Amino acid sequence: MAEWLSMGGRGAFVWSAYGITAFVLIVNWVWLKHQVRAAATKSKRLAKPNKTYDT
Amino acid sequence: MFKWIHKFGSPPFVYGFSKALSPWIGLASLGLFAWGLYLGLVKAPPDYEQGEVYRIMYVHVPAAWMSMFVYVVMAISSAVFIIWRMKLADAVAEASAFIGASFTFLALVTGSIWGRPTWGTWWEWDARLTSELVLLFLYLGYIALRSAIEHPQSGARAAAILAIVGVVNIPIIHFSVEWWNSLHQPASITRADGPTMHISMIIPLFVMLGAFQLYYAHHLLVKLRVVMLERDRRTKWVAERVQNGKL
Repeated sequence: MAEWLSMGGRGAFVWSAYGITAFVLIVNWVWLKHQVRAAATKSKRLAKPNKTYDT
Repeated sequence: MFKWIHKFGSPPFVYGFSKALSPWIGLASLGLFAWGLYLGLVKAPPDYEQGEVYRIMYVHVPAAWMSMFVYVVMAISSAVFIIWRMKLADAVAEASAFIGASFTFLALVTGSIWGRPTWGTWWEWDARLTSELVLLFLYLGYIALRSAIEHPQSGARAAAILAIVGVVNIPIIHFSVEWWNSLHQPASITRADGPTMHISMIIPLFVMLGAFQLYYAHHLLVKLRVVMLERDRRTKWVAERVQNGKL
């Protein structure tokens, strides 16, 4: 296990590349979920019954 | 055929389509990431020259390919928007910009991390690296231009023109290693005489590329819903979805 983690002495390079990739992809995903929730909440607030809407 | 294309121009249809499909694509992406990471980090043998550090390729190459692929999607969508005034095509371009910039950022950063142990430098102003950096600036310029112009329609048109003009950078990135002397290695997969890599190293690369592609597809479908809700907030179809609890 320790040998695998050390990646032939290049572990710092390999794991930092994978770590940054995971971080960026996860942050993008979390931010996207937040945007979906915010957009849905705002749409719910604005949608009122008996209102004339654009078609 | 045209009926089918026409359906994809309708926001309510695309909203429903995205809502139904995006969770499954997200799950498939997650599965491919797990499989690709296992193959790339555990099963693939070390490289005879670079040793273990070559494994950075399994995140660097898909990120670099996606940075170009997403830009081409953006440019084609922008052209469709300019020529046929199809609003949904503009929404696709808008929804792709940030994730495309993220892939480009990842390609540059992971490339830099790979470059340090293999070339002895974090950065070199050679053609491949510089043209990839230009791609990042194109994405950032597109995002900035859209938000800088107050009138959304004018902002969308200006950004679309930038996306179309900027696509000239894509062949420059791809062929830069052949046209100029570069520290960056030439193509190993897309060669006329076949790939120079062993199949045990290529399979994890394609699995990871599939994972990145599905991640983008998932991101695009979900982001399209956000863009459509923001644009059509005051329309009847959004109100009906709210009243039916189907947002």
